[in-house]
Amino acid sequence: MHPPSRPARPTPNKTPAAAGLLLTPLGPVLTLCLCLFSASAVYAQAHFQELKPSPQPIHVRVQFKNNPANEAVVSWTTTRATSENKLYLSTDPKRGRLEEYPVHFASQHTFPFTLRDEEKKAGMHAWSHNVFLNDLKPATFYYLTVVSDGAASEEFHFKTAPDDERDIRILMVGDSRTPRRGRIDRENERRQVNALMAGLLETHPDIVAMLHGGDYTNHARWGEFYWWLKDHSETSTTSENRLLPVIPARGNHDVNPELLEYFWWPDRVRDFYYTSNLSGTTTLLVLNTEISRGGDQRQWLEEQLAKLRPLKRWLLVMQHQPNYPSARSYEAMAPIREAWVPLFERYGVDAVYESHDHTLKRTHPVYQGQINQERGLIYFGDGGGGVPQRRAGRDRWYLAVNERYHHVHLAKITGEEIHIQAISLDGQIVDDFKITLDRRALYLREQKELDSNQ
Amino acid sequence: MKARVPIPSGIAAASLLLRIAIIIHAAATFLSVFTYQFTQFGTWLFMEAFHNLDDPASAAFYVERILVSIYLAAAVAVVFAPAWPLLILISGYIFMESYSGLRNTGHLFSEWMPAAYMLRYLTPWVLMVLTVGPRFEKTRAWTRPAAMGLLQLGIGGVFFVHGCLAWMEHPGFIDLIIGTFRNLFRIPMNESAAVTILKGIAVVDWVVALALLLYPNPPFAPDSFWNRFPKAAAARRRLVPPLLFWLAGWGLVTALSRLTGPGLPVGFSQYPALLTRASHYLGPLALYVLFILPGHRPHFSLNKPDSPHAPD
Ligand SMILES: [Fe+2]
Ligand SMILES: [Fe+2]
Repeated sequence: MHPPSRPARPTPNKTPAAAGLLLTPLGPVLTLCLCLFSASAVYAQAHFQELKPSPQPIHVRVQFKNNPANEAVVSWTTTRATSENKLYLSTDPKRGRLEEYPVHFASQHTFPFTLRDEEKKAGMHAWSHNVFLNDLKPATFYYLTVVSDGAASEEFHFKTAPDDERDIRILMVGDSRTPRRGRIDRENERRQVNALMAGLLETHPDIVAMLHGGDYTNHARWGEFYWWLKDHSETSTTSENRLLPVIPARGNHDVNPELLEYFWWPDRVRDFYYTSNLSGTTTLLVLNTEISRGGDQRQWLEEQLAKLRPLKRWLLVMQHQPNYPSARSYEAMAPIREAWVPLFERYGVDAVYESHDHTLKRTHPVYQGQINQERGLIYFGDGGGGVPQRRAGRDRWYLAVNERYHHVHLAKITGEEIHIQAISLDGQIVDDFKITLDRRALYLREQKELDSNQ
Repeated sequence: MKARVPIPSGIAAASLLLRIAIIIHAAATFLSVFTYQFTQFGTWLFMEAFHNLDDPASAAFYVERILVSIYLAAAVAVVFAPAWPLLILISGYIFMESYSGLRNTGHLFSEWMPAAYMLRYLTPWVLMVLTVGPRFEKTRAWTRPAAMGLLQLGIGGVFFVHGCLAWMEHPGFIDLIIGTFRNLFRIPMNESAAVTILKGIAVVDWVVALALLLYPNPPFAPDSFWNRFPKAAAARRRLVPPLLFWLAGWGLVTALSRLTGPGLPVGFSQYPALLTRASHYLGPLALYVLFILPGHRPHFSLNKPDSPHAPD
């Protein structure tokens, strides 16, 4: 588009001097951006690594969904195709002596992980093996060894959730993608947070599960998720091989269909929104902020809340994108808030765990868009599981705590209260609060009044 | 300035509309950064480039604010003087935004972002054609057809891509429909009804996109071509304006739905979603004025006269 230097040129619109002034800083900035783009392309390759073909089970892990008291999926990975994949199970330790385990199950779903081109090129071929266990006994330790084509894992164990009124603890974490030290670093922040959770599991054996608020990796692709699973199985597992069960939510970085391979479950009829009975008194509702929030999911949520509120002492919600964000724009989150918060308030959800904004967050008790100490609902979390943390501290009317720490939340749930603590990487308690209001009683009372008025 | 070649009204009007689209887009991007809605490029800086800095978020936000301020300044300058280097930079910045979106994959269908942003980064190029074209004898005749061709490509592309996203049941679109019906008309709607509507929208989007991409326009088939078929030319004259009004209207409605979907009251930082889509409603209008207002006839060296309906 350069003008030719011919005399035919009519008096042109000369590029004004202001344009030249503007161009001066823009040129270097754009050049810098281009350099960054290309540098990151090189950097982004580091996690594509060849996996030596082996039947040796890795990534041994356990997942809970609707009924952690009775059901679990145990999954593992091999780096070559194997024909015989078995899980040996017992309620007491057998130290890997396969003949002593009373039962064993063949993998019900064995499949090769979907590979993208870079992963194929690097040779990251791997196979997933999954056993769905039901009829498990509540609050019971299960010991297991998995074997693929004769290669056995160590013995691991996990504990099912109780189905009675006893006290429980849960761990909550979110946003464990792209740690600052790199995806494959042995000491990266994700592994540090995992190790913190393993330590907590050792000191608090009544921890039922780790609730993950989503954003596991950047893309939910094998080249990245391989490392997530590796970090999870290597560093969330206790020194005595107790597995920390995962209850997963789906984040905006997890929308690729491959997530279903990493968190396989025999009947995922709904897209990562479901209830999970953490104990006889507590139900968690996992929501998916990445699909329609006002459609089927909202209808389902309302049905579940109407059904569960009279039955359960505690109703918790976990969702990825926050209703009350700590770093992103409050108003930009309106579509999410409008869809669900009115239901949370009408049915009396007790607390909402959120992720996505990468800070440590707790709101004041909020009810109908205002701070309300009596009826307000606390939204906490915001994802500190390994992703770089955002600088916090912007004043928002609803924020009670907004800090910059990698962290996990530990909640102790009793008949009277939920006591929630945020714990930073150095083991410090960086937030501490309690939820005590009996919203079930409140709801039942209000329903009664409503009925008698009609 | 007596020697100045008069800019034909169609080109002047289209240029004005596009300059307005660019300044609105820049202002909205600026507004969104300063109301803590991170740009795609800023998110990419945070996630990848500044990754191992001590405080990647602050560093990314810092660069983001500098870039967006420069962008706004460039857009302001363009309103008064659409200098081509500025237009290239503006288009480059918008393209970088959409390409970062693709790289980030921080949301559904992010791989569609560069395509969905097509009109936003083509708009500066159209403006460049409209600005530079009339200056040279050789390009003068091509200014109008080239600008129209680019606009057709951009608008048709945006409608086609949004039709695809609608057909694939983009969850955001589903919620915009459910929300808009609930908030505006107090009609409760379930997801399957919204999906049915969405499929219908997809088909309409495709039809109008194809109509726009296929309707032969100079230089592919100059007006002189149409003059050989008077009946077809007359039909075209009748059909094109309603088509363009539909495109502009629908572009505005879908942009407005970003406000009506979430419900009232509309928050200050929700407006960027309406405003960054300025080219979606101003682009078709620019195409309309190019179509309807006189071209360059006195200065043209076309063999055949310009579109016969053009009033003089
Ligand atoms: Fe995240
Ligand atoms: Fe996220």
